[in-house]
Amino acid sequence: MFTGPEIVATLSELGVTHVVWVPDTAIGPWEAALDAAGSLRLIRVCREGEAWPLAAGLHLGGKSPLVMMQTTGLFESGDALRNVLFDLKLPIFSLIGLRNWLTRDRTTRPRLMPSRSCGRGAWNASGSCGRTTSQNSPRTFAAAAARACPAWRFWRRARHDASRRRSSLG
Amino acid sequence: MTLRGGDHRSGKMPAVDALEVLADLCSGDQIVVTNQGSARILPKLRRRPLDFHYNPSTMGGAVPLALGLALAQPQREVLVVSGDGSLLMSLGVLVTVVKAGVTNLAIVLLDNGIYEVTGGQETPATPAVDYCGLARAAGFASACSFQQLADWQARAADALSEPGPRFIRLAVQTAPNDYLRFPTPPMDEQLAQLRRALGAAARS
Repeated sequence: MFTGPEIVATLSELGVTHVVWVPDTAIGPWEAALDAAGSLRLIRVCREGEAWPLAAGLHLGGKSPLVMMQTTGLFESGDALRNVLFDLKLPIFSLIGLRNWLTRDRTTRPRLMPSRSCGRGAWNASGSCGRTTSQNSPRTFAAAAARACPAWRFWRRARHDASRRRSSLG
Repeated sequence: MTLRGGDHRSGKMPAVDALEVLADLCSGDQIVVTNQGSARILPKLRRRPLDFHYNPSTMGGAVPLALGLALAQPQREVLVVSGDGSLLMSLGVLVTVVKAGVTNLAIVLLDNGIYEVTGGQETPATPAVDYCGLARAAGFASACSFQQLADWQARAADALSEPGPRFIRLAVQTAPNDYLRFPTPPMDEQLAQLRRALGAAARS
């Protein structure tokens, strides 16, 4: 798994302005780096159901939020996710930590699989565009994110082009 | 003023009149988010580009959505009207608001003790929960409660200009059916209108 500074650098490159999160064991170690990042702001919510509408408000207000939570939080927040996707139709990006994934060697397979398969199932059932990845470097993570969603790929390409235009003007 | 709907002997103010006071006080560049019952009442009272009537919604989602807008638009005031049933779905959001550090957000709670849009069933909070006490304990800079319409009319402007984040609880009667049946403007239309209004303000 990559480090906090690496994820901050990746998210900054992608133009993320706010990370709205409930941490878990997989993404929790990034807290210090996310909190100290000058390029984005970490917003802590009390439960995952708050995260999706909060990100929707940020998006409507002109920001580029990223929601982070774990698979169990995804289950908890199902109605809020449904609302953002189907009622508001907003392109909210998220990164869902797979519960127990990093401890899979120490747990029994039956204990791991419900979280993984149900997490993926819930994601698919919600109609979200997503991809499961176990990439362990920021570069491969960013590539996986790009493969996961055409909108993300478009967003990254647009940002890259804007950056090149700024460079050529400078 | 003529009181509209509800039981005048209940000691609570009519919801429509309570919202009318709010509508008269909202400034031109203020974002107003409504939810559930208020998302049906306020559009019947007025239409305004920066009003976002969050319906269909997720119960408990109005306050976090308004918080997102307040974080994204720190230069303008954001006011969210939530029902008590919706707030009870996500009481922790009071803590989230304070932790986020916003001062440009006001929560107006319409407390009628019931789930109004589903037919008037009791919430678990009856007979009474001290919502202002909860807000103060969460760290809200100001929290006040109004039971009588005359008090709300006289002190609403002061309550809304207290240091933020602000929490205002209004004890209201059930709303008349002709208001609750009033259709919320279509979501696509509202979103386009809100984006245009925010974009125009950003360019000016």
